[in-house]
Amino acid sequence: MVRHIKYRIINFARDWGLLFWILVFPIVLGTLFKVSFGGYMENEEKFESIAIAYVEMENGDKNFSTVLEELSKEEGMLQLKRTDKSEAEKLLEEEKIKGIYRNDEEITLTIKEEGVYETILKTILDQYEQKKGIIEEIATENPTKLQYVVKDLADSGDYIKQKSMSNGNMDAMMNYFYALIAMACMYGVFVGGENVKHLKANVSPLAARRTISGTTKFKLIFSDFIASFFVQSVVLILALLYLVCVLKVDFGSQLGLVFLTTIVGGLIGISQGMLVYAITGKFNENIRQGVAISISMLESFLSGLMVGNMKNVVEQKMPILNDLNPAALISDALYSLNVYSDYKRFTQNIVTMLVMAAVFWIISYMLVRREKYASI
Amino acid sequence: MSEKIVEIKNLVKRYGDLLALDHFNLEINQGEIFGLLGPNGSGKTTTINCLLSLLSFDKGEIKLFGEKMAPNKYHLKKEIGVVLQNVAVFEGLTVYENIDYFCGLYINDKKLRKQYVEEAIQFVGLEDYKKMLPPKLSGGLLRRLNIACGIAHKPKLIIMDEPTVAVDPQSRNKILEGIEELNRQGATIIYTSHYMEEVEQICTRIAIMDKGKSIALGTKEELKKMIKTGEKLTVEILQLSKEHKDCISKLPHVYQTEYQDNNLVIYFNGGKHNLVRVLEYLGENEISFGRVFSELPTLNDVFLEITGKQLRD
Repeated sequence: MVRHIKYRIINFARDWGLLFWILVFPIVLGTLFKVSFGGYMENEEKFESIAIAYVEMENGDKNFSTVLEELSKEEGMLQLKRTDKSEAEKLLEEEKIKGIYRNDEEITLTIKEEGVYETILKTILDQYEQKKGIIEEIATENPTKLQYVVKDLADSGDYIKQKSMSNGNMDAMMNYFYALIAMACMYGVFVGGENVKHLKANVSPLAARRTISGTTKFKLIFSDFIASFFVQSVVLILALLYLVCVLKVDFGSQLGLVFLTTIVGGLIGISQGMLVYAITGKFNENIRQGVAISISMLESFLSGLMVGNMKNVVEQKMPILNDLNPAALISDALYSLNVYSDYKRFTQNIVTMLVMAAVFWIISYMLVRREKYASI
Repeated sequence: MSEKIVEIKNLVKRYGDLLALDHFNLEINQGEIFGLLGPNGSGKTTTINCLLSLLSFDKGEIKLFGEKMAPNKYHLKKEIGVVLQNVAVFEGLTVYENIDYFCGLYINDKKLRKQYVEEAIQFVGLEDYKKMLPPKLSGGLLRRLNIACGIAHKPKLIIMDEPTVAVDPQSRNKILEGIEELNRQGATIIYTSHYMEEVEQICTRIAIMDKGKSIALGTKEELKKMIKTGEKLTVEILQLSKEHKDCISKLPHVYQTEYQDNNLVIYFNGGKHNLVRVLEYLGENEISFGRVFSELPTLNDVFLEITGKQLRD
């Protein structure tokens, strides 16, 4: 088994075409990103408080005012300006604020345009509306505990802020690098594809020769997979080291987990490549390669490789896509490492990726393990 | 009685409406170099792929070494060496590494494997190319590497599917000599080709295939006896009257004559001293002649006569 793996690794290592796509291309693209965005990144401002106007009418909900006050205190998420309706509208028109909360018989939000800040404001209001009943009940029955509920809401608002930050373009330039790493991981499709090419007897004479050998198909599949995973991991680590050490891209303080994410990303890239090649096995190499590239590029695009806030757009329009897109999971896992103080979301992303990789691998195995064909 | 290495009974294989193998039967004994001869599309490669359990088939039975063949019969597969029609090696591994890799699919013992790999390299004459990568090798050398990868583990049964396609004459001779040597060392060989000269040169028994059927089976001598043509004589004659042509046609064992482009072609269905009789007739009748060629029938003639078409059609 070790010898099989060794030779497969050597074969991968001497495949310059493959190495170009999985190693050189991401490095070149990363360098271009750095050259293009370098200045922006250095000047990148951290999350700013969202300036809003608050217009409270006589019969407005007092509890909402309390919540907004809390959110203005907590890490300064909101920058609240109490004013009247006309002044608020003027400020909004002049783009000095992002929105107006008008607290009358019902609470309304007025915004000028769609964006991440506006989404945060809308989400805060939605969250409040959902919890309004509880707040009123506690205010009536146990007013002393109201502050805890409001605090809880403020924490929830903080979470929304962070969630929005990760999906939005608060740190748009880093999003490009996260998407770049995701793309490099997804280029594991080429490595996984190579495996299948050398395993399915109806795809290549080499695969036929291996299939009719005295070695079990499982041993061949497994040793190929281990070899490809090793190669892909080494390549990704090299690419990441280049970004961190040479280009000085700041991936935060948890570099170990960044590497882990990348390696798990590589695993899913390989598994996906195996699946694509196993399914498209009957077509010629150009078609197989075309399908593999198209899928990985589409995933990378949706994770924000070409348009920084694409993941945010997808999150708004069709969030399930982000949950199923391996590239989005990779970039989101990287982002969540920098944004969240706990590992809940990171762990969720990693576990999802591992499950997806396992599913892809098992399906590929079922398709590739066959030793007898109807036609070759 | 020698052991049956391969037994194929009533093998039927269809690709949709196309009948690739039509109740094909075959038995190959230990120690034979068995030739499967037939034009492209006759079913040779399909037979080989069915034999190796790579292809499913619609009907029939295949036994190797007396045991029914199946994809999971790894102990049987370990006794087989295959040289495929297309070169099947890793482009990123050197000559030595490729042979070692494929030998390692059968042989686990490191020391023994090393010995086998060295022997295989020597056998195909690639000693000077051990560290070269396949893309740097010529077509002939690549074919030799392909063979080395298939036979390095010293299998009992070697299947060679058109191993000399697109090979230079020097490499071809080397390959054919090698096959005979493998046979001398004890391997049973199945050799498929559409080059009748090769099959005629090395095979001890031959099956001629066409349209998925075995249309003739036997030693080359037995096959040649199946056809009418025993000898073909070509004589250059500038002018030959119809009367003389008719007289020559009546000589013993002559069954057909053709006179075209100053060449008289005479077909004999056996007999001895045919050439002497023709030359005596020409001398007695003062018919001047130029070069004379005498040819014995080839497997192509056998195929032509049985099927009405050339082997390479």
